[in-house]
Amino acid sequence: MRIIVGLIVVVCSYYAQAGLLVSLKNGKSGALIKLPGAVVWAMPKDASLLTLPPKPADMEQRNRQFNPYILPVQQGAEVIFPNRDRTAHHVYSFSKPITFELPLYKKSTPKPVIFSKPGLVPLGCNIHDWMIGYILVLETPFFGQFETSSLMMDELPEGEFEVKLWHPAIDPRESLSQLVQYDGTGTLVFNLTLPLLGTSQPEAPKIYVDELEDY
Amino acid sequence: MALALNRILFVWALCLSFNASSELLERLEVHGQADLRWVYADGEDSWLRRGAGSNRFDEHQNNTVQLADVGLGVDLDLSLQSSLTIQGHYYGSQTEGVEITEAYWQYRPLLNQSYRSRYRLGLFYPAISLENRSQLWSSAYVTNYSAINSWMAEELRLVGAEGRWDWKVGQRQGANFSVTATVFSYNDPTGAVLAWKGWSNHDRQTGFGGSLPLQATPGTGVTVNKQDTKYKPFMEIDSRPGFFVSAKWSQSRKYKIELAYYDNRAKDTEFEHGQYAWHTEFYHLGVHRFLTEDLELFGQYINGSTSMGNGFVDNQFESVYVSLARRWGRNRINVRLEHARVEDLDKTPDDPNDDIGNSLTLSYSYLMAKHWKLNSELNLRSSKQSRRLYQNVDKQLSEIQYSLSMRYFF
Repeated sequence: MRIIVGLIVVVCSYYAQAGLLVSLKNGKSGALIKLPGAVVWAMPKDASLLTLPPKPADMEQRNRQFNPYILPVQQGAEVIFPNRDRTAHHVYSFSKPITFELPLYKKSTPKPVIFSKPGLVPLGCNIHDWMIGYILVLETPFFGQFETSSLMMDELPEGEFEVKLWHPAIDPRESLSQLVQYDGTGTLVFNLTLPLLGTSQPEAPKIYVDELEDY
Repeated sequence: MALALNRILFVWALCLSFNASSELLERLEVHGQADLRWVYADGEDSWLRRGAGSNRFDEHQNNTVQLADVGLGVDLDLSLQSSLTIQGHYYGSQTEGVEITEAYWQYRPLLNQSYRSRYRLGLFYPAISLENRSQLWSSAYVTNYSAINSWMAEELRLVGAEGRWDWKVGQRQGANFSVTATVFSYNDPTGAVLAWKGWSNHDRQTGFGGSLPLQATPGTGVTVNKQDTKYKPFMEIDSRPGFFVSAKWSQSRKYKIELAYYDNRAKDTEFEHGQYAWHTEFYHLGVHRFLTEDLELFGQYINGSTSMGNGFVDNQFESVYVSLARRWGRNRINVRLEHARVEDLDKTPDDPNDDIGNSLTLSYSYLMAKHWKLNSELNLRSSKQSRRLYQNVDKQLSEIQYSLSMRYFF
C-alpha cells in the first residue's frame, strides 16, 4: 500500500513540474523579457557529470545571413557550415577561443570545424559585411536556448549547478549567474538591471539589380 | 598602348577558352548592361562634337533612339583570396572601340584579428563616388552623373597599387573605419579636360588608351609644344608617381563619411606625344546618410587646383552636389542639385578657363522586371564660360536635356 502511494506521489511529482524553468525578467518592473535564442547553461559542481560527448551542429548561411543567429555547442563539438545560398560566402572568426576562415563556394561544404576551447566565437563573412552570427562554446553538456522568454531544462541531473544566461543584446556589464541546488524541479529567474543593447541580427539588404550588394 | 592591352586580353581570353572546364566556369562571373536611350536636348552641340554644350547628346540625336552604352564586366576568381576584374564600355559612335575602364587584380587576405584588408593592382577608379554604386561604375540613381563623377569618368583613373585597411569600431555592428592609400601613374594629363572644357554631366567613361575630342582656344596655339587635337588622359609623362589617400567612417546602410586627397605630382613643365603634364591635386569629401532604409541623402564636394606649362594654365576648381533619393518598391526618385566652377588664375591671354554653373537633375526610375530598368530624367544646367565667345555662343548658356533610358542588366 505504502509502495503504491509512494509510486503515485513520485509519478505525480514527475509530471507536475519536471525540470528547471529559467526565465528572464526586467529587474524593476518584474515583466518577462522576450529574448529568443538566449543561451542558458548549467555548470555542475560535480565534475564527473561532464562526461557526455559533444553533439555535432550546423551553422548555415541562408538568405545571406547566419542561421541560427546564436548556436551553443559543447567544447569539442564539430560544426559544419553548409551554404544554402546561391552566392559564395567567406566565413571567418577572430576570437580568443578560435581563429579560422572558410572560403566557401556554393555547393562544396568544407570539413567540420572543431571548437575545442570554450568562449564566444562571433562569425562574420568577408564578402557580406552585415552577416553576423555567434557560436557559444560551453564546457557543459547542459544547455538550451529561450524560445521566447523562458527555457525548461528537463534533462538536468540532480546536483549543484552554476546557471548562466547570455545573449548579444544583453549589456556585457550585466553578470547573469546564479547558483542552484537542483533536485528535479525548480524555477530560476534572472533579473536584468541594464537596458538591452539594440543588437538583433541584421537582415540582409534587399537585392536590387542596379545596386552593388556590399555598400 | 591600348592595342597592346587589347592583344593581351585577347590572348588571355583564348587561354581561358582552351582551359575551360566546369570548375573554371564556377569561378568566372560575367555581367553587363545595354542601355537604349531616347534623348531630347536643347542647347549647344555636345563637347563630344567639339561644341559648347556640356551634355553627351545634342539636337543631332533628338527623336532618335541611341544605343547609349554597352557595358561588360568579367570577374575571375584565381584563388580563394584573389580575383581578376575587367570592365569595359562601348559607346557606339562616341568611342573608337571598347573603352577598358577598369582592369585589376584584387587580393583579400585575412591577416590579423583587428583588421581586414584589400589590395588592388592595375587600373581602377578611386572608390570615392557615392553615386556610382551600380555595376561597371554606373550610377544607381541617375543616368547622367554629377559634374564631379563625370569628370572622374572623363580623365581620372588610378593606375597603380592600392591598399585598403578596415577596422571594426566599437560595439555597434557594422561600424567601420577604413584607410586607403594608392600609389599611381598614368594620370599626368589629368586636369586638361577640366581646364579646357569645364564641367559636364554625362555618363561616358574614358578607357585606358582612350581619347576625347579637344576644342582648343586661340591662346593655346602659341605654345612651344603643340597640343594634340585630342585629349589622351591616361599617360605617364614625367616618370613621377602620384598618390591618393582617404579615410572613411561608415556603417553599412546607415552612413558613410569619407575624406580623400589626390595629387598626381605631375611636373607641369613636361610634354610628350601631344599631351601636357598637368599637376592636379584636390581634396574630396563624400557624405552619405540613410535617413531610413529607403530614403537617402548624400553628396560629394571637391576642391582642388590644376596647372600646366609652368604657369601657362593655373586653375582652381570646386564642385558640390547634394542628392535626395527615395525608394518605393520598384520606384525610385532622385533630386540632385549641383554647383561647379573653375577659376582662371593665370594671365594667359585668349585662353579663358573660367566656368561657373548650377545644375538640377530630376530622375525617376522603375525596375520593370528582373533585368530591366526604366529611367526618365531631366537635366537642367545654367552656366557661364568665357570661352564660348570663341564659338559665337553667349557666355551664359542654359541647357535642357531629357532622356528616357531602358537598361537591360545581365
